[in-house]
Amino acid sequence: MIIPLLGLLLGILLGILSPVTIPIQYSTYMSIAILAALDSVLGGIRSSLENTFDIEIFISGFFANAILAAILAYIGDQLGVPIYYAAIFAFGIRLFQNFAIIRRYILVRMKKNSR
Amino acid sequence: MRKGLSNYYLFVIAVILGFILTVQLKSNISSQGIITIPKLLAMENDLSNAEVELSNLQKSISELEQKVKEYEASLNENGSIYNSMLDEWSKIRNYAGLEKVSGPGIIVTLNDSSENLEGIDNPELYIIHDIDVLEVVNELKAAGAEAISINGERVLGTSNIECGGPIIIIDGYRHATPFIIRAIGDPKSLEASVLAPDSYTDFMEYTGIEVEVKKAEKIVMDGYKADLKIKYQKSVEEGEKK
Repeated sequence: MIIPLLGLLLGILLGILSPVTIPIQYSTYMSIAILAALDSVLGGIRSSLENTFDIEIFISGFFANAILAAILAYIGDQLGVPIYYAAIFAFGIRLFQNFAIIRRYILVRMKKNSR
Repeated sequence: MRKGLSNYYLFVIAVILGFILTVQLKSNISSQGIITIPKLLAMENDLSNAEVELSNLQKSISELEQKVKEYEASLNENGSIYNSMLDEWSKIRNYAGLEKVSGPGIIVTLNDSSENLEGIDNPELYIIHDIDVLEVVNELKAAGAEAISINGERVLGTSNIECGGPIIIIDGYRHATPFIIRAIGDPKSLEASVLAPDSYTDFMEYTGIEVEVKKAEKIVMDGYKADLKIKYQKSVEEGEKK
């Protein structure tokens, strides 16, 4: 559990220190990719709580979701259809669902421990 | 998969996630919100206005560049820009109406009504007034007249046309009927505007005022003779406050 947190801190540090910024026209794609990545992370936490965590599925999901979301948003922009919103809804709903399930598992565990 | 390798992957992914998150947050991109159609149309309007302004500015840039080129050319040829400045000076004097000019245009002749005035209650309507001349001049200006003269008297933007009893006074000079209004410009559009069904001359013809319109290939006009009205104005650097 401590290793991913360390990695996250390192990444944030790198992000703060590096001079990279995102041009405004690509910011929607980037934000949708971040949303997809967050969804994968929450999915990964949930599956690890369910003891079905598989690192390969997690990695492939992380990258594939992020890239696909960005590409879909881009195609939608080209077609004039805001697929962007579809991605927000899909990932957003999954995010909250995963979070709800995680919360339930944690609460159940806490109750068990307190008994 | 071994536990160590799995941790290594997780670490890398966490680094990536943290990195893109921070970069996105650091880019400080405000949300655009939902763009409604009225908003879009307003933006399009703004954009087209800006484009018009841009093209105007570009036009003026190219004009100024042209002028600079002219100056440079004359500087190379004659060693001074005196001649091209003189040229520009005469152009400006032409534009101001101070010089003799010639060009195509129309000649409008206005004369009082020749109808028998016996038993007519309001003979005022059958003679030409200052306001009639003024209206015709304004119509010619609206139709794109570049230079206008009335009975040989050049009319400028600052000219006044006023009533002087049986005569009219233009910039202090007296003029009587018939009024011959010469206008330089596109003969077709000038004639069309004067002869149009809703034009002022059309209205005047109801009371028998004689209006004659002639197109002319070449009209020669004298410059403005009266005193220039430049007593109070002076040039300043800054423009009008809006």
